[in-house]
Amino acid sequence: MEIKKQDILRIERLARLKLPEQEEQGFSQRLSKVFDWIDQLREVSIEGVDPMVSPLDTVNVPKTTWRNDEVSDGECQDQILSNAPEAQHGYFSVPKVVE
Amino acid sequence: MNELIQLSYSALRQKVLNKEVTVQEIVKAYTDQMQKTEKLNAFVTICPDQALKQAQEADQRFQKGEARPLDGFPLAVKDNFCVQGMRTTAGSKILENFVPTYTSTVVQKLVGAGSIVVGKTNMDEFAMGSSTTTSFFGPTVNPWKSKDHASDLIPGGSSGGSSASVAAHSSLGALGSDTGGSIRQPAALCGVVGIKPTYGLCSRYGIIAFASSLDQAGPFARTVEDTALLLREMAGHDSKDSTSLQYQVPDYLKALGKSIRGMKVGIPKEYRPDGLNAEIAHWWDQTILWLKDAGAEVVEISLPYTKYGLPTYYIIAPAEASSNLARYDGVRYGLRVPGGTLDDLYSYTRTAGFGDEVKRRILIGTYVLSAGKYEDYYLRAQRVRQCVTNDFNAAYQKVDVILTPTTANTAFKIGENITDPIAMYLQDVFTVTTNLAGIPGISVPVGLSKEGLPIGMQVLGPMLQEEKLFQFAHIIEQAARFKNLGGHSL
Amino acid sequence: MTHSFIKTATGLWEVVIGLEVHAQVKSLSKLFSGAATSFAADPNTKVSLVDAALPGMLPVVNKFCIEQAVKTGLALRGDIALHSVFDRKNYFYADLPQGYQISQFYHPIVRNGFLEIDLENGETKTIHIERIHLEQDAGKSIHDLHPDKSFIDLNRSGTALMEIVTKPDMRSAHEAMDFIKKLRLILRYLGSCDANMDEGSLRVDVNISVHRPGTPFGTRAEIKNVNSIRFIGQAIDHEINRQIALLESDQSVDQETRLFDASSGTTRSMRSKEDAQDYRYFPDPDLRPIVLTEDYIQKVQESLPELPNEKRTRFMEDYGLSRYDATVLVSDLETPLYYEKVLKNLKGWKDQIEAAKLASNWISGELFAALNEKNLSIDKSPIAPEKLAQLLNLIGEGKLSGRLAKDVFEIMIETGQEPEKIVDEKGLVQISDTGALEAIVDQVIKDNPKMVEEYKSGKDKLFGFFVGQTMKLSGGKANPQMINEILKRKL
Repeated sequence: MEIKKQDILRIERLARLKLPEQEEQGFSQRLSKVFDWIDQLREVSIEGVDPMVSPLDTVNVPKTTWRNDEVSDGECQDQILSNAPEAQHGYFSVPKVVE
Repeated sequence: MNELIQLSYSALRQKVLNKEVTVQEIVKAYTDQMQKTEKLNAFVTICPDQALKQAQEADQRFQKGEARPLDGFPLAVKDNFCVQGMRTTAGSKILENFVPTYTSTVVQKLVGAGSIVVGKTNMDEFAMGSSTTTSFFGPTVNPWKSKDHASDLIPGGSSGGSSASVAAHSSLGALGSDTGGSIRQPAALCGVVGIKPTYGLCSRYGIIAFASSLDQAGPFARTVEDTALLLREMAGHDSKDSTSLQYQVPDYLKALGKSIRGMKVGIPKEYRPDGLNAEIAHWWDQTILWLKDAGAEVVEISLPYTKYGLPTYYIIAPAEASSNLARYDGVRYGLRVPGGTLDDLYSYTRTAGFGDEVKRRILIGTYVLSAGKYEDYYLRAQRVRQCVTNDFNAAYQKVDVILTPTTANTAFKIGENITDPIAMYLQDVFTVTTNLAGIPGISVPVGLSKEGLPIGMQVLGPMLQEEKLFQFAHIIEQAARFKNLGGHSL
Repeated sequence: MTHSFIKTATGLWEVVIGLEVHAQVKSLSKLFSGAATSFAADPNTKVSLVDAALPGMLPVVNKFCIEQAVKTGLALRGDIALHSVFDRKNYFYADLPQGYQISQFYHPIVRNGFLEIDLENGETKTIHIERIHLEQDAGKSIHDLHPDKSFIDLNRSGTALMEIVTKPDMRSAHEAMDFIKKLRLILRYLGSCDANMDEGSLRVDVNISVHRPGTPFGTRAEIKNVNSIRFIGQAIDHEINRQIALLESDQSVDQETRLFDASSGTTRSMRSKEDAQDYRYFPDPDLRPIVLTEDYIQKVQESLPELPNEKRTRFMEDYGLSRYDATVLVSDLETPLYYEKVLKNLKGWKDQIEAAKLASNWISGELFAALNEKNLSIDKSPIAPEKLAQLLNLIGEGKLSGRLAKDVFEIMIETGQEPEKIVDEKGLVQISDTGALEAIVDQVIKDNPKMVEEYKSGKDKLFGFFVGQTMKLSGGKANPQMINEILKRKL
């Protein structure tokens, strides 16, 4: 399947990253090749087969229990902000966002 | 090479108990070896001072007769396991200076049991790769060398720093993570033991995620026994991970030495494609003979969906990764490249922070989930994933375990560029189906190629049957008498 | 089905409204983390490592939040899914730390509910609910603390929301407003949500379009930032006019998100040009599906409190209240409790229905007016329900006239004193002594000979005048029934 340059631009935008410009063309060819290979999955007869989300679906042990509604976390602003590239007055700060 | 770094944990422990040696001496021997093997670039971060301090504490516990199950065990930790106060990078520029304030559950358990973290090991960026060459911190070098040339070889990946450090005796054991073979493949290429446990056996809390439905942590060591010991201590339910199984972890050491007489080993015919590396095929046959000698019954089985495992994996893993890696946006931690708008900031940061392979996989993942593609790719892949799993389930109706080679080839040269992405992805062909199904798999070194490079065999079992894996791996280990590196090339 | 069309110079228009309501679950901790939900606090203090999406953090679902969604689903007569799934909705936003919101897209926990609203003409109408699903709230961006920075506070990040999505069943601002009023009341009765629009625990997005009757629905605009019921009405009315004006001048309505501006009562297009959204939903592999049993659902069903409509019916049947009176009493959480406490303390009434009606009238009349003036809610009323009952009992016993009772009530509301004590102290007891009353009546007749003349010559209407004069002379204390009797006799 052919992946076009405009597809690459679209998914780059969705993923908020850019390939080096000279690579975009190369990447679309490369990706087309990958998808040609992936397309062999079309041979597989999947009628009636449920999608498998997790391997746990097949294990016969008690399922994970839910959490009780208790406050057991938080109150750790210093930890939350400790790796922040930019923080002021206890907030993370970013360039002005316009709504 | 210092004798101390050649011994297994039980031998070392006995020596400490006999007061022939202290934990501090053991740790010193290992940190010395780390320095001697520095050029391998197995570690991203080392912490010899902290390790020595913990060694003192371990010595005190030994003296008081309060030694814990792993006291004094020098452990290397893959750099995608968060450890409080220790830089944790996942091999990426985007986390170059990230210092977690928390520790992953499995590291917490191992440290709680007394093991001593000696450093954080190099890896393919965000665990995406099979060679440990995509790390922002440069490639790791396999301690093994070819007899035919002097080139540096890849250690496998993505947990290549961990496997290389265990092979180079700069740690006694190491932690890795396995999403499509990232423990078993480097274990095989470095001539050490590595196990990918059942999905859900070990907590994923505090491990930097690659693909959540496939990722699983596991240990490396030079012996099956030390591997079993580490897994016993790190496994078990964690209420902080919703996908962690509630399961009573058995003492895996009890499986070692148990007879396999009458047990059935499946040999899947799909794993012997035309053109399979002849030396790998040879060692596979040899291993089959050893198991037969030990009384096992060997039967041919079929796993017909095997060939679809890899393309399925290359939809599911990038899809999950594209979402898991969205949090690296330059706002709360990690690299930030300023931009005039927040959107620019995101884009500049992620463009500068991620390496090419990570970007490619994020883009593939974004594509297969995007409008109009979801059903055709992602949902289809999930259905094929079920077919792959059904294959294994059917096989385990007939056999106890399955034996296959771990890799299709021995270690290749660093820089021997695989430009064809599909050829590169094929490195994982024998390992990914295990992750898709969630079943456990262990790689054990069985011998050397003519070139003098290690070859590993993989034992796969049904969900939560790690005991059977250790039982068989131990039989193979005994038969193979594989000699770990004695330091000739170090 | 009634039609409410809008008529303009060019003909009729029909309005179509659907609502997306975000109801914050009244839980102590967040949907997937143990951090507190009380986010009126210093920035980033009610935040766990999970809420800030630190590397390696994993969500674990809060049992209570699931139960609230099930409760709400049952109260809105929806189908509860035995198997529902959390999906990731992927997009980048300043206050969305994970780069995705955990929501339920493909398999929501509730489908197909409904809610009855009251129309202006007194009829009822069923509004269908398409789905209810659980999802995480985002953090908050603060734009006004710095000239060129936005600040991010994640205290709200990860709080559980129930998104309640209606079908496009509403046809006017009134219907949308009544839907929200009814929904808010049900959520409060259930205790699953505080449902305070001004505090943001209930947030409403309005989807609205207009079309000519008999033609397909028009292009809709989504209006956000509407944070009171009154504003919903304003926003809808403004948007209807805007859309009709566009269409009547041969322009088209854009499918877009608009913000309501409360100061001007208008809507405006969001300045940030959104990309064509592509959320790439897929099941969150960090979470297990929510698997419920019939047994569990049955237990939640049994735990449901009496809901507003059920209570209203019971009040009408048991206490003989009119639909209107019963509606007033059940329209918040505390009033029906207060009312039934009053009823419990009524003593000595022969006619229970009369007593129940009287209590209803006093609560929705005097008490509401007084509380309103003092800006108090009924649970903070200076007059406890027991004391109001005592006051009503005095009326029932004939000790107080309605008029006197109001005087006593005025004192009670200020002092909180017991009515009998006030009556004793102020000497407000009703005069029921026949002799004393006859003397007063005699005096009134004597003072107004001309009026007596006129009355006797057939001007029956003057009877009220004599009653009033007698009352006045007695200082309001005369028993009105007895005055009637004596006057009739003497005139």
